[in-house]
Formats: sequence, structure tokens, C-alpha cells
Amino acid sequence: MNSYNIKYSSVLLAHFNNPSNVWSGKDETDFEQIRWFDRDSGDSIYFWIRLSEDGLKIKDCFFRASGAPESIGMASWVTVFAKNKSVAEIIQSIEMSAREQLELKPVHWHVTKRCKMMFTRLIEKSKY
Amino acid sequence: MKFGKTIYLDYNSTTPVDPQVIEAMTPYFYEHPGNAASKGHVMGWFAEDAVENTRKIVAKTLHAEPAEIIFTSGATESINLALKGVADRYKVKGKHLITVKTEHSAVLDTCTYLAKIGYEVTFLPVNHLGQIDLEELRNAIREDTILVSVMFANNETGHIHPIAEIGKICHDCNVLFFCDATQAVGKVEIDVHEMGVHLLAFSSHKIYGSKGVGVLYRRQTAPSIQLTPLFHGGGHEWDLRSGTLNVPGIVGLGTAITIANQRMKQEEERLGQLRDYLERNLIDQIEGVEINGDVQKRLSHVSNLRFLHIDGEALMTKMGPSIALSSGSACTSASAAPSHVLLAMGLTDREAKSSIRFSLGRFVEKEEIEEVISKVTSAVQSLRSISPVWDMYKAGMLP
Repeated sequence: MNSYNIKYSSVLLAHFNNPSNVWSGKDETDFEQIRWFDRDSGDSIYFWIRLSEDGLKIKDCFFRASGAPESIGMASWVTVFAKNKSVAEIIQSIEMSAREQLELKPVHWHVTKRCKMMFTRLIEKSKY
Repeated sequence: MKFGKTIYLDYNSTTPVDPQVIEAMTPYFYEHPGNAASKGHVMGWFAEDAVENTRKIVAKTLHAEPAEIIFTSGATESINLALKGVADRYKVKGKHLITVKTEHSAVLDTCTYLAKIGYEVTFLPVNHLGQIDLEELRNAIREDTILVSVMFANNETGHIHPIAEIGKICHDCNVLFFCDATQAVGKVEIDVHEMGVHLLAFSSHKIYGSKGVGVLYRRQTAPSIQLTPLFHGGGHEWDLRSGTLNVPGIVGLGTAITIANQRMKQEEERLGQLRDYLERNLIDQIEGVEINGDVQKRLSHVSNLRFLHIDGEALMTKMGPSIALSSGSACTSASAAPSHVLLAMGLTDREAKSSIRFSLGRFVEKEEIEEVISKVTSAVQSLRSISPVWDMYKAGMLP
């Protein structure tokens, strides 16, 4: 079997199985935190984001997540995707990029919308 | 025994065909190709003999008569024939049916269809263990009730309903009793007369036979149950199920059910020990594991476990292709739908989605259970190690 899991692409599975940039709970002060928690499904994604000194780009992005594979895999992918991009760039391109790069099926698109909303909230709450 | 690289623990979905069954079926694909309905030549007679032999075996298993056994394409067809057949045939008496919220979708969807075309269906609730209240059942039966449909054993939790007691209530109230015994045949003793069952359905592929063969038992005496057929064209199976019989599949069913009867006690004991070992170890080694359903009255090979703050789909995906299990949800729409059985038992959406069904079977070995314990434990730890929800739980911020 080439792909043992027909629900998820190999890219998403790679992020799910070996997530990048997992937040280890370091006591850092210069990180903004954005959170999403769905009480019904129990899915949650937390991002810890540090902006560059000029405030224009994302310097570091970490995550913790729980719930369905698409939530965890997507969160890991976002931490890689977001690095060195401006928040505006992320908001503009995250949905389509995630769908293409992670080969998400429409049934999983709601997670890309959630992530876009989270970065929109980042603009509202941060100094950025 | 591994299938490829996969440990198969989804025997309630389907079973591998037993090699002895394959051996029995094989000649009927080429050497004995006759149609059991061809009455004019030896090939047809040979096929008919083979079919009738299985009919006798099935009848004996259920403590029924051969003429009460109808072969179909599977349990879903048998269920449709029973429910729609009775509904149409007895509509003069009444148009009310009773079933249970935890039935298989083959029953629930058929009942919903009947409700759409003018019948009334009562869907009885269950308690947190998956049990129905027998007094509630008795009270739900009305003058116009024609049929009660309750499954023998639940496919998700393994819970065994008190079939004989339900049969007695139906007898007392003069209503027909249909039982979906798909998960029970070959696993527990069934006596349709002692249990007061008028109609009973099951399929071959749950007992190591092939897919594509089902059975409907229809009582012929005291009372003789009448059915309106679903199909027309040939008058096979006493005009109740037209269509050429699947002779190889039916022959396979005969062998499958014979083996199941011979090994029933032995397999029940062996699988019960393996299932208990699996449960005990997972509960001991992983924090927050609970058993869904009634641990006293359930099939010995089934375990439905809930893993606190773990998504069942994620747990299964984490284990990759190494283990085949079934989660408490089915991702069929915009979001994964939690199991209707677990929801009916009072679990929340999240609890239902945190649940996994382990269903063991004939070819499972203890070494595989050891591997499953190890892999599930490791997968849960891995998921919780990156979970903010688990962090919140450990910090006392979530129940």
C-alpha cells in the first residue's frame, strides 16, 4: 500500500506523526499566545508567536494541539509556514496554501479557517 | 495472526474468511457451477443439495426448521425484508413499530424510512450501560403495535440484551419480535423458540464466512409469520426472496457456522481472557481509560474503551497501519459524527469521539494483544505530550 491512510495526505501525516516546533512550556515573555478551543469536539490549537524586532515578520512560531489528526497536523504545518512571513501574508494565503500543501479534503477545510481566524486575532491583540 | 503488517482487531466489522470455509466454497465456483434453481439437471440438483445442507445446519443452530430459513445477500437485506415485509403485511392490524436507539443503522434507517411513509416508530432509550428498561418496552406496546425490533448484541459495545425476556413481553402483548442477531450468531447459543423470536437476521461474514450471504429466520408455526417480499422475479426462497442464490457463499456459511458452533465455548473463553487482559493492561498503564457499557452482559470478544481527552481518530491514525480498530465516530460529513450508540448511552460528543472499539476474533494471538497494549499506550502518551487540553486537565482546569 502506497498510502495507508486515505483520509490524510502524506504531508499532513508527516506533521501529525512528527510534529515540528512543539511548544515545550518555556517561560518566555516575548511570545504572543493565540488559542482556539472547540468545547464540542475537544479540538484545540495553541500558538506561541514571536515577532521580529521590527515587528514585521514572525520570527518564531510554536504550537500545542489536541484533537483530530487534521488539527494537530495543520498546527504543526502552520508553525513552519508562518516563519519569516508577515501576519498579513499569512492571513491572505494560509487557507489556500494549507489546502494545497496538505492536500486537505473539503471535510477538513474548517481547520484552515480556524487558523486564519487565529492569526486575524493576533493582529487585534498584538502590538503588530 | 497478522494480515500483512496489520493486527486486525475489527472483527465486529467483518471477519477474515476461515481457510476451511474457503476450501469448502472453492469447488462451487468452477467444478460445481450449477444454479440451485435449475431443476432439470444434475448440476442444479448438486447446487440445491449444497444449499439445503446449509439450510439444515442454520436451522439446527437456531433450533428452527429448514423451511424457516431464507437466504439473502446479507444482514441488511434480511433486516429490510423483516421490517418492511412485516410492516406491509400487517398494516391492517396496525402501523406502529418499536425499536431501540442503539440498534444498527440497518434497523434505524429502515425504521426511519417506514416512519416517512406513514408508520409510527417508537425509539426506546437506553441507560448509561446500554440497557433498555423492560417496563418501558411493555408500556410502549399499543393496540396498533405490530413489531418490536431489538438486537441480540450491540455491535459497538457488545452489550447483550435480555432477548428471552423481551420475547416473553412480545408474546404476552401479542406482537411480533424481530431480532438482529448479526453479532451474536456463532458467539452465543440461540434458541428462537425458547427466546420467543419470530424473525431473526444475521450474515455470514461476521462468522468467518464470505461477504454477500445473509439469513432471515421466519417462524412458520405458532404463529406463521407472513412477509411481503422486497424483490420479485423467480420466486426463490418461497417467493420471499427472488434472485439466484449465492451457492458458494451459502456453502461457506454452512462450514462457517459449523466451525463456530464447534468452537463456541472455547473461543468465548479464550477471547474473553484476551479481552480482559487487554482492558486490564490499558486501564493500568494509561491514566483516564474507562470501559463504555455493561461489563457483565456483553460479548466476550468486544471492548469499547474511552480515553480521556484523546481523539479516537487521532489515536488510530497515530498507530498507523499497524493496528486495525474502529473509532467511536464516522467522518462522513463536515465534522466527524460521534457514535449514535454511545450518545444514546449518555456520553457527550467528546466522550464518544474519545472511544475506540476493540473487537477480537479467532485469529488473534496473545503476542498481538501485547503489541496493541504497547502501541496504544505509546500513542496516547505521544498525543497527550503535545496536548494543551491534557495540560489543562493536569492543572485541574478541566474535568
